[in-house]
Amino acid sequence: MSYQVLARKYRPQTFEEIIGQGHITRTLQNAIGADRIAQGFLFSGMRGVGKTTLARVFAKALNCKTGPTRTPCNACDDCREITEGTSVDVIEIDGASNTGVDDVRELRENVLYAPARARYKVYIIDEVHMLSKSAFNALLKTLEEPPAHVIFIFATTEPHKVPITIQSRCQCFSFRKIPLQEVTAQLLRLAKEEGVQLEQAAAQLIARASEGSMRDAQSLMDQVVSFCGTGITTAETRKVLGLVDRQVLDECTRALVERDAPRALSLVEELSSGGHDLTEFCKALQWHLRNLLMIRILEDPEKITALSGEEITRLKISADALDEGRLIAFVEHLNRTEEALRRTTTPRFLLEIALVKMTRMQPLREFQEIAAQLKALEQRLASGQERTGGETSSLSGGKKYTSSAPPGSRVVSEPFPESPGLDWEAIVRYAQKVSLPVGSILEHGFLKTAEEARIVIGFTKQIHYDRAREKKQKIQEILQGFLHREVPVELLLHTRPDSMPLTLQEKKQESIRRRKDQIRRESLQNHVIQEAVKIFHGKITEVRETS
Amino acid sequence: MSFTEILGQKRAVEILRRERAHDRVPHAYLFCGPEGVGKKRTALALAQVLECAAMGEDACGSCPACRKVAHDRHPDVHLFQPVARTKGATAKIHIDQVRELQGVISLKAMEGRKKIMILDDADRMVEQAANALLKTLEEPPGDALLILIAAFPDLLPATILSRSRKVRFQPLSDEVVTQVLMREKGMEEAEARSLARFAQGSLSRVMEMELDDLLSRRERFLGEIGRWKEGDLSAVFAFAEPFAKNAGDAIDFVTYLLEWTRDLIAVKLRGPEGVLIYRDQVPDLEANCRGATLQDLLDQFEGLQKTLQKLERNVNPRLALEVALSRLVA
Repeated sequence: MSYQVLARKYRPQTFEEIIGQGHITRTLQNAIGADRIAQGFLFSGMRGVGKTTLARVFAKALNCKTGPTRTPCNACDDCREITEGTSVDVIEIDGASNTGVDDVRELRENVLYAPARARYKVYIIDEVHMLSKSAFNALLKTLEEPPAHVIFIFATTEPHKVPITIQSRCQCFSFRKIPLQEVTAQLLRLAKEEGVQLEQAAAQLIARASEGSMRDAQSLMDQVVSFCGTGITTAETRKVLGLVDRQVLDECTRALVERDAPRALSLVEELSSGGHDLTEFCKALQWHLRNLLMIRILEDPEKITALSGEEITRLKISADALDEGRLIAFVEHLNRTEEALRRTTTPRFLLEIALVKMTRMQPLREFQEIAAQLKALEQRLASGQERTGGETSSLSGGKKYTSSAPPGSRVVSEPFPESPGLDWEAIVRYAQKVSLPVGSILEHGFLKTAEEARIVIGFTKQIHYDRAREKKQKIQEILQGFLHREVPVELLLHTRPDSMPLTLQEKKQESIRRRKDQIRRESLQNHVIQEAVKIFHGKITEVRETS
Repeated sequence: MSFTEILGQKRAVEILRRERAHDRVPHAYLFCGPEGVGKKRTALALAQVLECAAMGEDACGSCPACRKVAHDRHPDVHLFQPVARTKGATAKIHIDQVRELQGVISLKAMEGRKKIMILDDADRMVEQAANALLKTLEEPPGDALLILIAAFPDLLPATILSRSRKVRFQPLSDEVVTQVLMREKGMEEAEARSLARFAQGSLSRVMEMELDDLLSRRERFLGEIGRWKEGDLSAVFAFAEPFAKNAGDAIDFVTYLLEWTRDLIAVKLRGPEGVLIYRDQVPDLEANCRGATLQDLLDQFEGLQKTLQKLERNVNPRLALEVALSRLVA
């Protein structure tokens, strides 16, 4: 046999050789030992973690001359034929190429015949998620009660595409990503077998790039071996995998810290003329910044970043130069850029502009800070007008209830005494959280009186008043929950005096109306629209906001 | 076509050479890299080397096998390309093409040493086709070699990527593009050099262009834009009109605007002159960016980028242009 890639050459032939899936191999071996073998199996998991491999090993374990056995001999005719893919009783079907209901009908007919030589007839259907809906349905009866000599093994990377009715008739096993250390160890073992010198750090790089898939790791190692020959160094591995040098990442980070856009541009120029994959760079920078973020916010970042203590000390300097808000914004921005880079024909420009934008990003401000500012602004506006929306208190309510609002900001309105210190809006919002129906009734109400001894809620319309009365008990409970004490609630049907605050519903409508007015005004002034009106001799009848 | 004729892809070619020399040619390659840098040429070169009767380090180019590969007549070298099923539809590789491939690959090689299947623009495989290829790609029968070519490999499912050996192709340097233009189009060096700057590392971008043509088009565009600045919206619509028929021209125009905006940003930031595409028009650039803030330019870039993406995904070119340009003018 001529040259074979590592993934084929070292495909595991026994349960023990399959790495990282102990929870499944043990279960299957025990099932064989206890003679409790199910008739349908569904193997799911990401690419290259051993689904098809395990299916074949399991088939061997069932059909081996010495079996059914926990340890197939790999020497008898049956085992050897299965390995070579020539066994008449182990039928491997490509589910993605034979997707139709006719293929399943044919299978259903063949299932009836006894195995030619071996104990079981094993059907392995790979990429089973590609079967059509009718094909799956045609399979249901057979799968539920197959002849005693038949075993089905389905393998798929996308189990969510397999109908629930199929899943419920199978024993489902989900394969795990293979941990970094185990991939690394396996690569080092393979290197030894192949007579290749592989540095530990290089193996780790490959393992990381493979994201937990053994086949990916083996394909990458093939690639590296092709380039480097029998002595594999970390530096060359980086090059083959298209990984970016640490220095470049450091320099880029410095450019971001110092907001040096020209330097960022030169950097992209260098990368691009050096033939680097810009998407890879984007990914690497993202990881780098993410590591900086982890170093900033974690007490003990070693485990999460998988970096050495030495490296962390080195990175700490960069990490301290940036604030968390900016780092988070960077990572998010790069994430979007990476997505766009995958599909663009002008990747270089895209990356350039992304970096320029990043040098200009301001530290993100805390949401609470902005919210507080808005509140303050609102109050200023409100006190400028005749109306005060009742002094705002903190969301927790209750405590400030008795204290009156700060002097100067309150206009006393007659004949109803204002509701001091009770934030009606907060109450309604709280109510909506507790019970949406009650919340939406309260939206139509306003706070008429709020005293220690009682709370009066007014409604301007009969219908809302009636509905509120039906729910009075519930309203009482909610207010109690909000204030942390018992207060009797009264409901009232009353026209709202002008001095009273608007109900939330009215406020909402008011703001929508204002916004509409503003959009209309703005768009009428827009000179493109004016021009368009002129060209088409049209007139504007309606201005509508889309999305 | 032989390895020595492939320019600007030293690394990729070296890897392929070494793998052949050490008898480590896998059963599946994935050639990836930008459009127009020689991926398909290299695939054909590899096919030739593998089938060549002389069995030397490189293809001899004169034996019957080499000639047949070069003329796409070799019975064991098959090329699969995306096809458009209905008029106006995007070309894709469909499942029946993959089934055809499976049929061909299961037969013994007729006269060559290997059966070689080249899938051009493999990233344009439909989902069913990609899935149907998986089993074959993992364990093809006999001495078969599949070469997948993709400008956007990330569009392929991870299951395909994991089964093939990746060979990365780089953007071509301006130097290489200049050389090829001189050799294949008989251009003067200075002319070729100026044109090469517009290639952005991709030969196919400039291969069909004449420099004069390109420059005059650029000049016309610049004049157009100058006029719009005065708020002449009807001119914008008039300009966009002819693009209704030709998305290619629209893409060309928006690409130009994008390049120009990107240069304006670089100038505004006082970036190094070496990064500029229009480095012989620095005064123009400077004059143009005086009126705009950096934020304006960044916004403009983003708008154009989005328009370009839409154009590449087959939206109505006239509408896309009208929207983008009226935003630009406003």
